[in-house]
Amino acid sequence: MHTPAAALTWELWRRHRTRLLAIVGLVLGFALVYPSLCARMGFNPSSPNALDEFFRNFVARKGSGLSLLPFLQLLYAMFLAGGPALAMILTLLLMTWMFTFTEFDPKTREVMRFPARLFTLPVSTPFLFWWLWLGGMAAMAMLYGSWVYFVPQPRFFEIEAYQNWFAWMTFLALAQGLAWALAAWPNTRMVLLLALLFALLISPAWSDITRSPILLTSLFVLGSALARVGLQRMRHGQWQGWTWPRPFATLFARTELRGPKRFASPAQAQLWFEWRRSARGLCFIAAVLAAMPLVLYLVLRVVTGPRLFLRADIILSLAGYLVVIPLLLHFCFSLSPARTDVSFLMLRPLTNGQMMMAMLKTAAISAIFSWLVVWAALAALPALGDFGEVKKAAPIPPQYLTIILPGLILVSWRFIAVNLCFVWSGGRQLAGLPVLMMVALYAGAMALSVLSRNPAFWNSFWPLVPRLLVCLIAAKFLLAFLAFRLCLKCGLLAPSAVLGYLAVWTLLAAALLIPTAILLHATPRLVPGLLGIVLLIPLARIGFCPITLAWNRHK
Amino acid sequence: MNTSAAPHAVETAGLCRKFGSKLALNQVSLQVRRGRVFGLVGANGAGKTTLIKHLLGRLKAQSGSVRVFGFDPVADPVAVLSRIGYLSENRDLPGWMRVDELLRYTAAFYPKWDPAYAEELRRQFGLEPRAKIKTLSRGENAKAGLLIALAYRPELLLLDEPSSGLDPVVRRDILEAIIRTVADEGRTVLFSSHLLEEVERVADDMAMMFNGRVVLAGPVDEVKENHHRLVLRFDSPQSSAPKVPGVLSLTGGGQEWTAICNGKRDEAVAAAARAGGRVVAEGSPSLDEIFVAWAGAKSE
Repeated sequence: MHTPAAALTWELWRRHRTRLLAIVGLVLGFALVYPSLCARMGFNPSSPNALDEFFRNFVARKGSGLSLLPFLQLLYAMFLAGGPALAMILTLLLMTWMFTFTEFDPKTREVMRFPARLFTLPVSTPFLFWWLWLGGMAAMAMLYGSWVYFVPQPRFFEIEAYQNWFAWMTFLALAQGLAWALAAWPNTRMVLLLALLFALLISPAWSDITRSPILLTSLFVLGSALARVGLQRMRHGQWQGWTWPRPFATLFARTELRGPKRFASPAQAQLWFEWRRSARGLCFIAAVLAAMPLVLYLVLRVVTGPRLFLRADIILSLAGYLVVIPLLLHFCFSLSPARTDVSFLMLRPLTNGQMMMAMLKTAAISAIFSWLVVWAALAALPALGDFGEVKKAAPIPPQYLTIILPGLILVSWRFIAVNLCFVWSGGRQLAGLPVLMMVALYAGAMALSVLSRNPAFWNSFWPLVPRLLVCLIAAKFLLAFLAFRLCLKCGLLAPSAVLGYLAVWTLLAAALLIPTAILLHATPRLVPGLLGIVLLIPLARIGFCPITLAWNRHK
Repeated sequence: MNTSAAPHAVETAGLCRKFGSKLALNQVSLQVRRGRVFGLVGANGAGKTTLIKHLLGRLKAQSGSVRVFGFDPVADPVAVLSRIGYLSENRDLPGWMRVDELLRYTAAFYPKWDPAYAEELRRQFGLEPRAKIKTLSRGENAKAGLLIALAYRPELLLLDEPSSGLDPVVRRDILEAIIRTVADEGRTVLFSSHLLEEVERVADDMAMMFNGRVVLAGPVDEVKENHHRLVLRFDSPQSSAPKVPGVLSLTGGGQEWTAICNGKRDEAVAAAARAGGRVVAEGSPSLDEIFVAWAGAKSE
């Protein structure tokens, strides 16, 4: 490495080599495998009506009795229809993040912080800017070109907005501008970056923007200018954030310790700690994400007039988006809860069981709150536009809501509850297991979907499902027994805590099993449904959590 | 066994720890008596922090044993941690908390938490109650850590490099805290430090570690008494340090060299005479000189 540019390029490669290799792998994978998968399923991605044709065929096959597992087939269809576009968008987003050159700062917990060490290198700010800006633009162009020229992209309306190279350049310029110019306002920066992402992924306005060269060029210039000035100001410590108005500063300075406010017990203090550390933020993000479309609608209504009535497909997308929020948030959070402040926490005089219980309780609070917010937003959707399509797409009889609503809360909470034992182990490989499990689950569903096209396979597989579930449940109970016995033996959990959790488990199971039994009693789905619920409510991994935590705590 | 009446606050026996192929602790046996200030000194990577992590139960002994007030920190972490006030080298307090929240939160774990004392310390350290931890300077962060370590009057105060990177004012606060803790009858302080004048000033007992081993342990006065500084003059200038058996280190140049020896003063004088040198001055070395001498002896 003889030049600063080579050194910086090497740093970028060294930091992101796994991601860059994954991107190359994805492009190659789709370029080589995807066309043959499409051919097998009779899906022609180059046809403008590919999706309609595919679903027409799909429905016809379903009618002829070939597809005995419509859900899995639908998953596969979704993969074929949206896989390349989704992979393209995700990789371009990843590339955008790489060229903002930001990183997570474990000390300040800032998610996208530009490393100050770059400013101590003997390179000029214009050099830094041009290197990142030009490098980013070139990388985006190359990646976009690879996706467009090597991978057959299904052509339908929703994807068109993302098939514009200049729009992606503009997105990168805006992301760099916001990330660098708002370095001193980390929270504002995150909100604006999320809003930008939201505008790109969700908002129908993005397709309008991409069709307007003037608007796109203006945004491109604005983003680039912001990035250039932001980098310069960041380097010299300008724009240091807001200072509180003097009256507030004085008020806070005079505030005394609030003596009477004391926690009643260590468990209560720990619950507060977990709430403040993560659950509160999770609830806040869920609320902001759920409110965003409504706020956007209100803004549009102010601009366009009171007769704004959203189309059915937009309302359907919004409903899908809202339902995904708590699930996605809790899954993402479950991959890295409580990684910060570990050293501090491990030295509190708390048992591992107390730490775990506090985490489980706050996860339950955030899951319930997130879903309440989402229900409220969903309830507001009929007022925004044509809700009929949602009813058609998900024709759920009202009585089924008694299972679906608590079931969704349980699933959101479950992400955190079951992954805790992996994440708290402190091991990187173990902590990565939940992602692998999710990928394996999805791959399994795909494989089943493909295999289910063969009626002989499906006829022999379906009767095995209850037996398979019974075996899994037996294994679950056995593992749970061993784990809880070990916890009690080593004093990691108090007997009262074990009994308490078992009582909660029983209550949860009863709350879901009874309505399921009533609603499905006359259908063949009853037994698999009940067994599935028993399998779903976490037990064994809850038992293993204090053990892995102890392993991390006393390495 | 009545563990609270254990004679030693800290007791390790044959403690070993390996990280990969590196032996971080090698047969460490130490006793820290109650009511004493114990200074742990050693070069970087000597194993001080590893030893402290064993006392806190953050690391499990691979062989040997660790007892804090008679309790095993791994088997009974709550019993041990509720007796210890700990200030970490990394000052890893949660950045999102405010100072008053930190105090309230910490108070919940310690029945003996003294709110009046906590408030007094907060004022003395000049910490704003509404200030966020992440906005505090390094020194203020150390003070906040010290505050929550002291406010419940722990039986054992454990300080890992408490003054590293801090200005003299904060260092003074920490030393005062140590002195005040010991003034409370029966309380014990164990601290690791690079600043040997601090150890010399406040510690009753000390242990010196090199490469995971305790090479020297005992009361500070005794350690100093057992070491001698001899100024040797040779008849002719010496181009390199002369070989004098029984001497830990020899520094200087030309005809005059300063030797630090451990205990065997007469033997060192005799050996110096055989090598052509005579003692022209002698005295008691500082802990700093002793440390450097041992460091040199161990690196050879």
